[in-house]
Amino acid sequence: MRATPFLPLWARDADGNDIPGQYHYVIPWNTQMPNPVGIMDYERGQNASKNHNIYGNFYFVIQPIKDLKFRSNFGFNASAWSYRAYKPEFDLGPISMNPEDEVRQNSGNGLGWTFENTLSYTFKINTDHTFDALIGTSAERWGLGESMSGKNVNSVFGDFNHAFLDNTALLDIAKIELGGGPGGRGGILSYFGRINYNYQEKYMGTVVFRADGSSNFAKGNRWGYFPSVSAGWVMSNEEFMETTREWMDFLKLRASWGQNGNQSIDAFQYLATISFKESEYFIGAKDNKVVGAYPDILPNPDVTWETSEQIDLGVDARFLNSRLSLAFDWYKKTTRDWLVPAPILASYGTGAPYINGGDVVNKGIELSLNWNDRVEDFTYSVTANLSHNKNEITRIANNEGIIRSEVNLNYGEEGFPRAQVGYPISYFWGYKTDGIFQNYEEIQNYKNADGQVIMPTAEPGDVKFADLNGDGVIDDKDKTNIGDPNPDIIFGLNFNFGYKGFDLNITTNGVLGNQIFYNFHGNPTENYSTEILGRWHGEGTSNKIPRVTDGSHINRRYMSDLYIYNGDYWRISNVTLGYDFNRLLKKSPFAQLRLYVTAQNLFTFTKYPGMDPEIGTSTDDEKAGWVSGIDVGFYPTPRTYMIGANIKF
Amino acid sequence: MKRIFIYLLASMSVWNLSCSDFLETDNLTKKDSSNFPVSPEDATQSLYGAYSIMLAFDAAVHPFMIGEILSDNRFGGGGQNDQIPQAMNVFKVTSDSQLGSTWPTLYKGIFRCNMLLASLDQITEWDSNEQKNKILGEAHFLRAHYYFTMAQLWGTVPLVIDPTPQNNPKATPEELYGQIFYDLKTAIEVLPSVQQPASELGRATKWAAEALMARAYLFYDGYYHQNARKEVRLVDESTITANQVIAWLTDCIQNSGHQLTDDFRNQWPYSIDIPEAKYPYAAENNLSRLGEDGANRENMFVIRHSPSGTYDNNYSNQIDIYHGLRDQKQIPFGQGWGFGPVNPVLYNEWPDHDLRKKGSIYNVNDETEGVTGYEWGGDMMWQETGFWEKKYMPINVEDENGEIVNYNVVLYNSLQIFSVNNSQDIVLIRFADVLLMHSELTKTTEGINRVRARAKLDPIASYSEEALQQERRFELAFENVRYYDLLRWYGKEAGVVLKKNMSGAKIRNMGVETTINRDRNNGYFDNIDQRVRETGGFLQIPNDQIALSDGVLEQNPGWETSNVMF
Repeated sequence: MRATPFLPLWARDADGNDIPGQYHYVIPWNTQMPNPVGIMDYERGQNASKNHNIYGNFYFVIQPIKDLKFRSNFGFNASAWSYRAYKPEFDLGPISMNPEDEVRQNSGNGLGWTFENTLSYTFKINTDHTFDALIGTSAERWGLGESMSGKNVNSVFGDFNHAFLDNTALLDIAKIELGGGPGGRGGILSYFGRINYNYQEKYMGTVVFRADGSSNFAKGNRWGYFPSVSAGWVMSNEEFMETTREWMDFLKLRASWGQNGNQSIDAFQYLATISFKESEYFIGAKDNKVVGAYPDILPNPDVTWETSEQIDLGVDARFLNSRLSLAFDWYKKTTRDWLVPAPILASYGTGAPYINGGDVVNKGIELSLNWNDRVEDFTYSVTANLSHNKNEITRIANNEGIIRSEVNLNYGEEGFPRAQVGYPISYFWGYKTDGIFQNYEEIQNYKNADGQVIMPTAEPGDVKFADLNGDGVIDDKDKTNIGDPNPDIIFGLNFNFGYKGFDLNITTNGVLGNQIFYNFHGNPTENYSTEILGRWHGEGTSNKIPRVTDGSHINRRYMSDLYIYNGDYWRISNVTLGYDFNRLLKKSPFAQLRLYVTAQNLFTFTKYPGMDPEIGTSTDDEKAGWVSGIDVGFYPTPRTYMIGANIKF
Repeated sequence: MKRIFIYLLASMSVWNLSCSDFLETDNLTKKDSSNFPVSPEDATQSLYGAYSIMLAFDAAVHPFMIGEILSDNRFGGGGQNDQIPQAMNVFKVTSDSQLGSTWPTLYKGIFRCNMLLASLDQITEWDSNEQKNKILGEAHFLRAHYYFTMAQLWGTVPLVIDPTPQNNPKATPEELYGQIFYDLKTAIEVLPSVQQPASELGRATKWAAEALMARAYLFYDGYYHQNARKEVRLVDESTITANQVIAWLTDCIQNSGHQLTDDFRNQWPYSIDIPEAKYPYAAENNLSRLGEDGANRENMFVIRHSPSGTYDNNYSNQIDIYHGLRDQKQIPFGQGWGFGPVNPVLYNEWPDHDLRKKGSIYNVNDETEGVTGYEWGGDMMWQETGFWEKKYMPINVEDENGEIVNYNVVLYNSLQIFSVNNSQDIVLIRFADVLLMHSELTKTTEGINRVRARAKLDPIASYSEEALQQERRFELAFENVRYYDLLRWYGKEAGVVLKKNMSGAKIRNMGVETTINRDRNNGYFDNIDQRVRETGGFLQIPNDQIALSDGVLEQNPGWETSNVMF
């Protein structure tokens, strides 16, 4: 949502005073930006939704023979919802008006269940070798509900309280919307087995095998098979480790390798489904609508499970009477047959199916250290954790090895974040810049090796784009990797203190090494950050921020490193101080009577100029879920102060 | 106890293991290619799916808009920031994939025709051969129409004639037109030789196919063979000669039942004759709009729009909105975004006694229009000339409360939102064009003189290219015909005509007077003739498609470098 800073909130009377309650109409020279509060109130502000959910879980366990257990578990989730909305008649501007008030009602229900049966048996061989075996099956179904929706215009009462479809007067076919459909049905069937082995609590191992079948894939591609193994060695229990027991209480080495699968895509990607939506035409009489049909997707009968395979090596250790503990992991996770919508040529003529479109590798380490101790009544602990992840795409199943996102920012060109072989997911592909042209001479002197002037139509104050391949023009061939939204390091640092009933907890977290794309102001009629005060407005005034132009000028439209910022931050995300009053009471019926105050998001250390370095991405394209690191001006995380109580009986 | 347990266990596992069809799901909201199409109704529905693409274009890059903006009759217009039409007007672009929505939309239409044609044999129970032929003929017509639209925009494009995924290089002109002519010839041969009943308005007919054939032949023969009137080869190795095209046109003229309307102006909405209409020019001349329910026998193939347009559907005519007066509304001319302001040179060169002049162009300074209150410089209006075309404009009337509303609100109860309440059909081919093409091909005066007589002009004594070109320029102004006429008469030198006719035009940018050559200081108008030579008059292929083709599809000449940016 965009707002112009020139538009007042309330309409004004002849004396220039505000008329509260009446939203100001668009200003004459900027009719495309209506009053955002008015729009929010009228279009989204008058509605109510109700959601009911019930979760149930029933199980029984029987043990016919000692150590042989059969467990059966049935769980379900039933939900119902209803939604009612009223959109009044309004006129806030030539493209923001509603001539007739509207009433909407939606409702629906959902149902899903899972049914799991397992059989487990523990047994020992020669007292030292303990085995724990389990086999089972699990079946799950979801989407077993329906929904309905309706909309009509011209409400008799004209307000939200009476906004029900029965209260709408006309029955004009053209203005009624009616819909209803089933929930998205699907199911999973699984078979699995696991064996745990333990020798004297020193050596342990686990083998798991699962076979999962999903209804999202065609017959023949439904099943995925996912084994995993792991082993652990409690070195500290070995005899040769006697000498270290003074300072090292526990040391365990572990290793694991395993696979699991992902099947969450739209259903029926393997069929050429025929759609009847958005294909109406008018034949014969002026308003005689006919409905057309067309295949809405190129089928992919081969679509199947995405498999993630992970190797992990790790160490757990505790030292100094368990005051110091450490956990370290190294992992490599390979995702094969990544489920993505296929980027296809327009000449294919219809929608793209999901394909198993590539392979991604994530490698990294995780480290966690904790120190806790007490000095008489004072307890304290410090925990630091850190993870480093490197992400790279190793294969993409199309001709050029690239998937472009369709994220389109701000008149900008599409395909700006990309998935490409050899690069991290969603890396930023754009132009490198080399300062700002200060005068016409610089523009004319900016030539390539053959003496061709590279940007002849530039003006002083415009961005000087780097001609990386030296061909004398600025185009796609000069675009390169200008940033990576995936952080190098994610870390956290937490402190806990306790003293006689007081407790203090400080939680912090942060990231290092990521870049964020930040350029959400497009036009001179919109708000800028104060950074714009440092723009170029004469020779020598800036070599970084170009002159103010409208949003479609290449200075702003071209995705360049001018708009890539480091997103490093360290945030003090939670500080909580509490006191347990229970201590003061001699005989209290309470187990705990704690009062606390909390500050959330107390402070953030960062050089990032945007509103919040901890951002997500919004894109209308649900199939571009892999895109990240684009700041479109989301409402930043607020600082919140809370006071609360924990009371336990 | 043991027994119960065993039974329980057994039943659980048996249930679990026997559910091999547990994972089978029925698609409850869609059919699929295994059960569709199977009946003639299914085939008709698939055909409508192919027609529905006609409504799917984004207005700023709609083929009907593009051809107009490229011509010497219009400038880009819009507001200061509406650079898409302004760039197009001078053969530049504002992005790497300016026509990135037009190209896929056309291929969607082609795919649906391909799919239908490939699956017609799945249907065995036709009511009659005629029923099958009608669908077959219309599908061929639509495919030819979509490919010819692509040929006019891009020269040649990859040819895909079956519904399988293909990555083809651009076809040669011979291959592409060979397919277009074959599709049209098939349509001509299988579609029934009957007058179209009103219940089928919007569907293609044999007569529309004959007209489109002539148009495509004239363009191909003109642009690629310098009007040599050569024989052309079709994909099935048969040939078509100029005489055959003439014979089809004659058939169309004599047997189609199409005629010229009595008054030229009654084709366009401004001539509307309802009590609420308050346009002095229409009243003085006793105009009375013929409407779109079959009384107008001149229209041959149109894009059908509907008065039920809303923000959520694509039913309304957006071309009208884009042409509307910027930031103001009057009776009769309604509000819009101000694209395509008319070149004053056209107005000045058009003889005053030709009633079509005032019937096609609105001069804001002409008091005899009876329209007052025009305001210059509305909402940062750019390239404003003070001349607007009248054929495709939103048209307002006065309702019983004295309020200015679009006529669709009164006639059809449309929503009172100006940006979605135009329902005017867009006429792609009409009978006047058939008569003029007949004259051009036969070099006789019959066709021209019929058109002139309708415009109450004196007949010409003998045929001349100049007279023919002039007649087309005036009769068919603002109907996406002019630019392609220039290309086929002048080839790559069409830019010389554009430059001559557009240079020096007086415009106002945000109310400030200047000339088109000084617009944005770019000197783009001085280079128009060069740009047309470099590009051959064709446009940029969306670069995202070129990238996806991994080297198979190549950019059009003149569009490869970044100096094409506006």
